[in-house]
Amino acid sequence: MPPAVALLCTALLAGFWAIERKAFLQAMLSRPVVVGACLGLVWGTPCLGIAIGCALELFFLGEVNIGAALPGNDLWASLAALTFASGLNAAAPETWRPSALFALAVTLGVLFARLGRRADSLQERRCVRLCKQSMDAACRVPTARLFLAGCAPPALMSMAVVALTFGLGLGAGHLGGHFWTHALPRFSADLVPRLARASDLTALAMTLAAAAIALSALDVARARLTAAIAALLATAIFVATRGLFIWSAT
Amino acid sequence: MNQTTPPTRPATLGLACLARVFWRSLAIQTAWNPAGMQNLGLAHALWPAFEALYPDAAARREALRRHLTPFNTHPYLAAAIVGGVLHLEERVARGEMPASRVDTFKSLLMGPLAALGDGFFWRSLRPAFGALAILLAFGLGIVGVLIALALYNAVHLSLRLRLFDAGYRHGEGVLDIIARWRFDKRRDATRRLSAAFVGAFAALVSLAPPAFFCAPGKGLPVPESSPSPVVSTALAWLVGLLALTAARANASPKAPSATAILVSAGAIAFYVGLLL
Repeated sequence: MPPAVALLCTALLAGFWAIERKAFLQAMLSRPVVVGACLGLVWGTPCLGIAIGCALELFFLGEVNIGAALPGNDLWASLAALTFASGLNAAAPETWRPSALFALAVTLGVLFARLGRRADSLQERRCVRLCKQSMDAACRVPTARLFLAGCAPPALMSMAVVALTFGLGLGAGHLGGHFWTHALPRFSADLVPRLARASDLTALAMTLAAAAIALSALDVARARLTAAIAALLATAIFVATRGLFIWSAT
Repeated sequence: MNQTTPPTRPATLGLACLARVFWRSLAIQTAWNPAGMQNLGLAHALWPAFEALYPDAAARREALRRHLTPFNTHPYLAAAIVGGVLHLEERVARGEMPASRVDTFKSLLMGPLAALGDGFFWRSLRPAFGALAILLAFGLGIVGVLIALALYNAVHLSLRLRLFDAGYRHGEGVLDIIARWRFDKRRDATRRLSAAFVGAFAALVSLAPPAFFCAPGKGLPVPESSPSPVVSTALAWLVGLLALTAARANASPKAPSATAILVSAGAIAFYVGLLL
């Protein structure tokens, strides 16, 4: 898919997800793992999409919206991470190591989640006026007006996130790609492989840290013990039937 | 009160009207706001029923006023309240019941159902979905995600429909029916299952990281001099365990936030990787 078409698809999907996330249905269609898998397909990087989606899903596994307490915006995090990574890729294809893309994207994503929480809170306070008007006059809010007030702003804001992070990614991709291929090898021949190795380690460590955050948020007795037993069991099965779980064809 | 309905009109709702109310109740959190919470969504959902039950404009307005008071519950379990309100409003419209019974019903149910829904759906079933989805995504790609979505929504949508139906049939008796479904009993088992999925995922992602993070032939070449995969995986697990220790202290007020834990885990791993 050409980048312009992919960007348009991402923006449209982002609008739908923003509505699905809180206002309508809540059928988990806007969870990071789903967003990651879908945008991975859209941008032609299914492997990276799922890797980022899984890490962010683990990070947000225990965050809940209870009453007026708002969680970090998991949708903004996934959108920012995926479109930023795609922007980097589009600017300098084949230059960026997937694990480096992953680490940068997930870091940007969790920061955008905080911005998203602010935006959610603003949106909720914006709706107070509509509520007061409706209560005072004891009249209903027509469907179109309810949609304009409750669904349109989150959808437009998430589309803006897509545009912003894609631009950020393109800019950083051009700069970084140039630096990576021209300046860095001249600076130190040893540094390039070191950076590659470091980003591989970072990607794995961040996924495991996200799993640790998920475990501690589950709030049940013996969660860690259960996870440890399951990890041992999975290792045993993996070793016994080696290669069965390697999903990318070798 | 609202007993102005002409006696010639049978105040019951048709299937089409019930379907419209149910469809609209899926959007109960639209325009959620700190003042009225889900009140606009609730009033919007109930409107087709009011049009059918109260042909008199003044009575309809009065009914709407009752349902614009602040209202908040779990969005899934709200289906039971919406169904129950329809059951009671039919009786109010027929003049068999004072309108205050509807308010009492709503205010009595919304708290317990919110607690039940948050504990079971948001804090147990949704994490189980997420953990299953990542495990299946690891094995099967997007097909795995679709399987997890289908499983979750089979439970979610059928429960929402059944709750709406139970509320409409039984009115005030719906709480007994929900209590019989024993959500609280299934809560801990579901959470422990999620923990097991997370553990299995962590093990598998460590055993097969090349397939996961680095598509073959992409990016810079893996350095020849890199340490064996066993060493780097062990280092990553060390960082992960460090994060687990930090996250364990999360309950205390001065604990680091999840964002801080994740970002510092990444920074530590990157630094160690550079030093190797």
